[in-house]
Amino acid sequence: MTETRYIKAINEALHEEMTRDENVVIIGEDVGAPGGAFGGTRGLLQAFGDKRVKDTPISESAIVGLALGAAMKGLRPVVEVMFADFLPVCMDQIVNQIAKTRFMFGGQFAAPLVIRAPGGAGLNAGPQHSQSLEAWFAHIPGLKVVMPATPADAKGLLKSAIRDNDPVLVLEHKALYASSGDVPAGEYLVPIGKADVRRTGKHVTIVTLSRMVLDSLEAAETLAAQGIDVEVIDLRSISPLDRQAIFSSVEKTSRLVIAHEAVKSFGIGAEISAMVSEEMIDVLDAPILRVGAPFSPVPFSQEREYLPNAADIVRAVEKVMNY
Amino acid sequence: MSSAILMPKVGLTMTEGKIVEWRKAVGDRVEPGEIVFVFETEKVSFDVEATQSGKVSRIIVGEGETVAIGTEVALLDDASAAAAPAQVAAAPPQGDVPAKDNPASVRAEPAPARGSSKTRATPLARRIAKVNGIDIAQVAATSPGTPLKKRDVESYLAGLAVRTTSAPGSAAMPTPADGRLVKLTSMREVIARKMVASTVEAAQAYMVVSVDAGNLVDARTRLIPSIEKQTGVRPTLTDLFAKIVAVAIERHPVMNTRWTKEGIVFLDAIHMGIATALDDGLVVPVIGNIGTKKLAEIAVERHDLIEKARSGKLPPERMKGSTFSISSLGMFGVEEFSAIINQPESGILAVGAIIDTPVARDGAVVIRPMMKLTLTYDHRIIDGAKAAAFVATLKDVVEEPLLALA
Amino acid sequence: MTKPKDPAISAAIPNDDGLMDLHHSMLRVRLVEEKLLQVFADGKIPGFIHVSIGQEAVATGVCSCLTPADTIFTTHRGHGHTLAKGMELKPFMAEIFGRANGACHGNSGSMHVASAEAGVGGANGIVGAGLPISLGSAFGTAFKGEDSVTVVFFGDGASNQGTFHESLNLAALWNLPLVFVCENNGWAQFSAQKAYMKIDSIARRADGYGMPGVLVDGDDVLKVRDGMRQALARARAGDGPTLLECKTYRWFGHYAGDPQKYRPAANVEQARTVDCIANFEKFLIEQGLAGRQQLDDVDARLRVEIDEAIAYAEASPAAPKGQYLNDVYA
Repeated sequence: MTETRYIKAINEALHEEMTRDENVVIIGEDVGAPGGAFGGTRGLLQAFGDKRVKDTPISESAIVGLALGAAMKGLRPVVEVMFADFLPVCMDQIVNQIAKTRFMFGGQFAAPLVIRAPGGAGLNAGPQHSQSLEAWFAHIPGLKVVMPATPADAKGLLKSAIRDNDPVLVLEHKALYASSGDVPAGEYLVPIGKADVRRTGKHVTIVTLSRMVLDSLEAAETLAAQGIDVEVIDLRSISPLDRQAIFSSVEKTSRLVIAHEAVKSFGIGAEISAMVSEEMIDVLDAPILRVGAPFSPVPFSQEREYLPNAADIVRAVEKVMNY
Repeated sequence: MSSAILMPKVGLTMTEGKIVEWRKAVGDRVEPGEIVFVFETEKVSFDVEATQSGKVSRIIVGEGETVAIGTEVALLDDASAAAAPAQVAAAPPQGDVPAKDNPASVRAEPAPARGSSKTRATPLARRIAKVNGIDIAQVAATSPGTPLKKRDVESYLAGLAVRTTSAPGSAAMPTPADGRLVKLTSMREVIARKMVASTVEAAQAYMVVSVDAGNLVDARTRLIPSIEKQTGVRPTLTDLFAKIVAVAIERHPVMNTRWTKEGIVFLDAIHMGIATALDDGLVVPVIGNIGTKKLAEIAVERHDLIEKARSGKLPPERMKGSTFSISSLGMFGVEEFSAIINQPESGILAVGAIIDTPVARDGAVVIRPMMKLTLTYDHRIIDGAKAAAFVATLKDVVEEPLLALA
Repeated sequence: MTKPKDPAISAAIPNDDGLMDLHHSMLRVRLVEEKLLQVFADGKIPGFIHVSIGQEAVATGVCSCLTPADTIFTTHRGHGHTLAKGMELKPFMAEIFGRANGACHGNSGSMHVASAEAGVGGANGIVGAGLPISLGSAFGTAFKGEDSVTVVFFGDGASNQGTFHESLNLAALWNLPLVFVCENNGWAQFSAQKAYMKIDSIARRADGYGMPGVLVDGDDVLKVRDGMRQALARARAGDGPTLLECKTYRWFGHYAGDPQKYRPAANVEQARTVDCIANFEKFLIEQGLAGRQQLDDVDARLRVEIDEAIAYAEASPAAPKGQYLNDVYA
């Protein structure tokens, strides 16, 4: 275990996987000498050469489609899309091509590729560089979607994603890039589709992900001082979703709050809420509440006010407890 | 254009109201200030006036239905303004406090109001009730006005277990098949819930004492002229009695307490609840800080509260916060009875009729105006000896009201 | 697997430079699609189909130059390319009929037929979407040191998609072993080329990306083949991609059953005067390379093969209940 920054953990995963498997190639804008817009691919060009670290023109559709074609030919491409907000630029390739390749061709071809993209707000990057779009992709059969909250998960999930035989979208959080945490050195895999119970508690379950995991843990501390014992579940993977982890926790607490940074409407909170209602409504002793962003693009100057935070989570939990 | 009349919120804790009467029918014109409908919440009914003119085009919520605050209850056509909460005729004395602004949820659209008269209960509470074969409607909420939750059903079950063991072989529940069904008013629902909750929660024990009310009656008779002249209100025996009970409580602070999970709270002020029978129920108006009030003030306040209660205009706030209650059925000739503690208080005094009774005095039988007082106390807090000490003080001051000054 | 040939014809006419194979391939596509129109009209095929009748010379001319190791990506109008590339007829037909033993398990139908075995990377229902994927295929084979080539077919309409421009630029930049085949039939769905494009020849666009753009008569299978041979030679030599535009005619509507109200009758008539197969048969007979009877025999054998494939598809079981859940993830 060493204290490592989130972005460094990603870089470490890429180094290790490229060393392990010569079919792993890096494709993206400025991923070569510049080392990526946020430093995720730093040092890879020097270590593995320009045959395996490919700088591209600013052509997201071509880049992502190229990764698909290369994956069909047996490579393990890792594409960096500079901001998750640019994924819509290549949406056809992701949704109609990559996600459907295995299905549409009856399993004759597969798309074992990874798309890394930083999402989330917190850097005052404005409406087109701050979004959390995970719900869009989780809605598409054929894609896997993961969102690491900690440096260790950033490494472990990325390594698992690269080895996965299906396309995996790794939505990193740019506001977490500078965060630090213990990261196991060397081989460390976090299974895709497994949530992590970050804190155990008996009164209320908070299901959360990405940056909101930190806010949820902070809220849990505040609530503990009031005698409210909160369980925090970090989903880590959105698709596939660890339904069992959610069910088991709610079975215990009978109360559920879902916290995500994305716009609340039609978000994954709605999905989880519906899922729990469908499967176990008679376990619930209070309404399921969602904490999410207002129905507005991410504002530039009022970003802090806009973003859901620990205080919002505390209020939601209190509301559930006082129902 | 048309606009909606909404179920208004009139108290801090009000979540729903039951419409008891529509004063306007579809097609009627209304003008601002005219009463459109009457609703009741907990123990009080309110007249709702129109705030704008228009024609009633649709009544959405019928009489006898209970809906959440903010629910559209009727539509007005040719209305001049957009949807607005209706104006409550007699505004409650205490203003409503705006709900705590919760950015995370306030950002979302307000939840559509639910127009259900069903018992509100969480799915978990319903499941536990079903598994245990009990009717969820029989369960009382520990926090009135909130939906029934797991803890409510569990505490109901716990109470049921106690009663079942003490009274085995209870008769089968009667069914209303051959009788007349009187639908539950919200007041009846509240009373039922509170009474059941009280018997389930508190360890109620009883103690009866006979007191000689001669001096009490004399004292009142002597006080009547000056107080009536001063206030226009005749002080009742209950007024005087309430004041005297307060004096006794001051000397036994354990009677003015509240049970909480954390511990027993000794309350600073005495707020006296005076249970008052109405034609179709019961209300408990509260004389706040009774210890600091003169008899004249108590009389005026009690008179005012009961008048309002009788006309259904007593704001819910004035029926809350009592720390001890008295209940009198003397006017009906009832000699002796016991009352159920008005939660979360720890005691209630049941006052019987004053009856001329032969008693032994100094070796001789004399006829005295005797009155029986029955104290119901919460044995979780008050031990028998402490209750007895209070009762002894009470007997002293009732029999010699001058001691109240001592 | 190898491309289907007619062994009887090949043995009879030696040193034909594959000419009889070209004829066989074009006629096979034509007869398959004619049969498809018929069974579609009979209501035997679910969904809808797009036929390439009249355009067979492009599919055949291009694919005749390829080996099974080479990969093609094609379009919604891809039956011809797929068959000319060597896909077996039975799984092809069973897929179009939506059967369990269709090439794609009945998941996809006519618009997405693929064959990994025959190097058909898939037909694609999104106009212009195959181009970026073909980049990766070419990159992948080059990365692995294989000398195979990738070919991507697309129409004149697709050349206005952003993917066309992104892909040509990137392919040229990276010198990818790739041939962009623009099958220009003059119609983008319901619109004539002049309605949406200022230029006549899409091949001219190649210059903007630093690659050769070659325009050939797409109704002359030999000219298509010549153009393709040159493009392939460049690709295999590591000289990068070529944009090969094959001008041809669409005989039918955008989809089977399209009444083509948007299209002057004269335009349809004129298109049908240019018959790449009739012209090629005339050429074979005039050159003394084949007799009418021989060609008719080819036709007869093909019809038997096609009827067998149709019978196979019709006799194939429907996709099992819930089959669609099996191919979503590994």
